[in-house]
Amino acid sequence: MKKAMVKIVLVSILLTFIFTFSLYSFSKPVKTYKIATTTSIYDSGFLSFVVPEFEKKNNMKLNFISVGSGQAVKIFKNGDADGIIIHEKSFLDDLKKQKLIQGYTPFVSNYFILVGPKSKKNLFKKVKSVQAAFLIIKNKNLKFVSRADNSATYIRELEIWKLAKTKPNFKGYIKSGQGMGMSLNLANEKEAFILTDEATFYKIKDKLDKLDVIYQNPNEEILANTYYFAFSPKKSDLRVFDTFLKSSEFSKLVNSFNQKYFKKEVYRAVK
Amino acid sequence: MLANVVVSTLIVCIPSTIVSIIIGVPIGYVLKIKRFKGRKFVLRLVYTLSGLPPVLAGLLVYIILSRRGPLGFLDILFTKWAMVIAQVILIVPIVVLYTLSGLKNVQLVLDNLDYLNVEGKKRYFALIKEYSKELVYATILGLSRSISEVGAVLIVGGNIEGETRILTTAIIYEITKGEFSRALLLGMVLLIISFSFNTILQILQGDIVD
Repeated sequence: MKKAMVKIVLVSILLTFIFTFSLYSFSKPVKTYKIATTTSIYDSGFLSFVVPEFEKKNNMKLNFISVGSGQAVKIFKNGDADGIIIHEKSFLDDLKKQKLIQGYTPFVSNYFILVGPKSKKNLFKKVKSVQAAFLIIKNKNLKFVSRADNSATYIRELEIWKLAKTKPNFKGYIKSGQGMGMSLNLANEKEAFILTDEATFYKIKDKLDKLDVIYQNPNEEILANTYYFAFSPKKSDLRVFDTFLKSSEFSKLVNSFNQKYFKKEVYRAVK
Repeated sequence: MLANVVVSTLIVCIPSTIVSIIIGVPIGYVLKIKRFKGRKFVLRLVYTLSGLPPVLAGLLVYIILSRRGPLGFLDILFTKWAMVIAQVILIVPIVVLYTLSGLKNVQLVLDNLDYLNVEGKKRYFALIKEYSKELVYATILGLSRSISEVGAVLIVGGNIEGETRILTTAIIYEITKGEFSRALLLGMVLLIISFSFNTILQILQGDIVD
């Protein structure tokens, strides 16, 4: 008898799971949209901080799929995402040409910075530009972690090598093939240099004990890093999100995010 | 946050295992009992697929479910449905294999069923009942595979917070952010769930034997 009871209880637990599962999947009270996003702005926690406010107000749910910019574009092109957030303008221009988007909205920016081992910091004291810093790394054959993953950060890195009129063909050049956070971890372990966006770096800085900012310059155009939002014309409901990103309410959220996690201005709302 | 991830894990892994049992056990039965042309080939295929790399399964399901793929109209890529499909593909061959190896001395049992004049579908259910203890192992293995799987579900689920983020993909995400202690905590939770599953199934198994 007792054992039969156990059996009944276990089976009912299983059935409850199946029931919840079906209920969960079929009941969609709010409109849900999928947004393919680049890893950096997601890993920094920014989207998860800003979006709940928007969702509550507009009774809308945004699901973020965080991948490298290249993959995000593919997902969007295939129609598997309704919107896209990336920081590589040329990708968006292509999408516009193919009439997959009508336009795009810059909404937040920060800067790319070069970080590297604290111990090597004084080698870069007199450096005037990021390409000069890159040249020192190459000429001294220091370690450098490249994401090598078709991400916006990687594309920018290649542009800097080009600007320095050289190719990253030295022994210390490590291709990680992983997202920003993972690549920073790798650079920390290997005590290597790496190009990163400010926000991701400052967000996980306390875990990167070997690394420090080696070079930064807000006036250098190649180091500007702006994030854009675009959506499929078929999903015109997403215009509400576009409008939200231009609102003063959004700028306030950007400021409180900066205050909460960085104690200084890292993300800047674009108006 | 953690509760959400745990619930998501369960509502992906349990249905995948149940569906895999429903599909895999009859296939294993047929392969063991029936002799047909190409049986050896099917067996070889099952052995190969039981070692199918999860990322490959993920890629295939992704391509099929993508908007541009043959089943794109279903609109289930980056949902739990897609994750269940990918896991079923991974678990069914394992269930088939363990059903095959579970049905030991099957000829003896079949002779008895012949003697008792049990025919048709009844034969199948009588046999499954006879072997239910062995089949619990297939379930345990299916569950273990589904709960520890990460490659396929990451690709087809998209690791969406509150939706398709399950324990294993959450661990990956925490590692990405360098939050190793939180990743470790999630790993402990994963182990505890796995342990509970095994305990439950072993109680069930004992119940059946008695």
